[in-house]
Amino acid sequence: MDYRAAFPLAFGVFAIGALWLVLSARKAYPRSERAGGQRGTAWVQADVPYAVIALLFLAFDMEMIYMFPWAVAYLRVGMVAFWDMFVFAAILFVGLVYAWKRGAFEL
Amino acid sequence: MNVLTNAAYALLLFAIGTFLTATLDTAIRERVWHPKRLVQNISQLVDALLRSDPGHKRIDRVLFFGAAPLAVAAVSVALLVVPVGNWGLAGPSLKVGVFFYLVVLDFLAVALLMAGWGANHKFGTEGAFAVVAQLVSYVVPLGFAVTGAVMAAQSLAATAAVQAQKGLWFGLWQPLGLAIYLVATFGQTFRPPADLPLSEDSNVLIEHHGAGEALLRIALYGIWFSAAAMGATLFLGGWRGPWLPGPLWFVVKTAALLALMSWAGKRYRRLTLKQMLRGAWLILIPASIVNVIIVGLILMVKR
Repeated sequence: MDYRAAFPLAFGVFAIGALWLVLSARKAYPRSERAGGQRGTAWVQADVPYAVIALLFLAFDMEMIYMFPWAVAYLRVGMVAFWDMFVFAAILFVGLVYAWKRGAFEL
Repeated sequence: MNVLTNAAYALLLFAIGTFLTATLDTAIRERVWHPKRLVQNISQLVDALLRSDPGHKRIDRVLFFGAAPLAVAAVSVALLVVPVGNWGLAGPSLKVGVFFYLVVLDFLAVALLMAGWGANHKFGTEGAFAVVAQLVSYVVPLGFAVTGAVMAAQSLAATAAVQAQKGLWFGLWQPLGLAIYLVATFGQTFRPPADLPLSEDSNVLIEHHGAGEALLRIALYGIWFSAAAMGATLFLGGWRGPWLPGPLWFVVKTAALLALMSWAGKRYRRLTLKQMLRGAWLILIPASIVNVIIVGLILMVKR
């Protein structure tokens, strides 16, 4: 019912957190106590092996979103709803197997 | 007024839940538990919160300092839809509560991504990539597992799911859904053994110190608590139970899930990026689609 609480809460907590970070500057960690320290920047080669999976993720995430309204109306619609989703899921399954065979998960 | 009480509810739940979760986790991980340890932890936390987080010269200031506030904001908003009991205010009955929760949950991953990327450190960048890998792996199985509960409840409100479990808990006739939900929760809340972004050489918290690090760690405990609470609500009947008052049942069930996950984190070795991606896409996602179909069949037969 009450969506209104979400926005003031999010902005309020964010503002207080940010303010805290600014105001907590009373005493800093001495350089020697900080783990990591700065050894070079992030300008290095990095391996992102899941680029294809990230694309697949977009398709499956969208399917998940379609599934929520379907799930809410499921019992009201009846058997038709079941077959609809069965076909939908089957097509997705074929897509998953295709991606698998093409080596999307060979990381 | 309603807005204020709801916000206070979420913040109170955040504070109490995070405290109890951290205490429970420490007790299980260290086997022995002593009140002295608790005092020590609290004093360490207060000390960290009072220290500044200076960063270094080459950080991306907006991302680096925005991460911690975003993380705590995400957790407090997520807890807005977790119902603790059946008295008037509890669990503001947001009509799309479950979906709202799934969406807000991802903001923690965004915050950790910002924390790691903004640090401008090679380990932080590695950690940021690991965060995205986990997001890409575990959002979909988590959503499909929740879909089973939504189908049975015929509503997206968390309170409706609790009401619908009057007879039999969803977790009892959807064991596959509950199992997938729990496994995906490890990845979504970055708990060990799925805590690759928090490990030594791919660490999003690197270069974060003092208040910034403390807030991010609080948010990590908070999101874990919220996920266990949502699991108890959707699959274990939430605050519903005999004899005891509602909130007590809620605490017992949530604590049981937290204890199980904490034990598993101690028991199993940290997963690698490859194990998480392959495990999620070749086991969890197919299994969760099968789960939706099984639940659909059972519901149609029962009707």
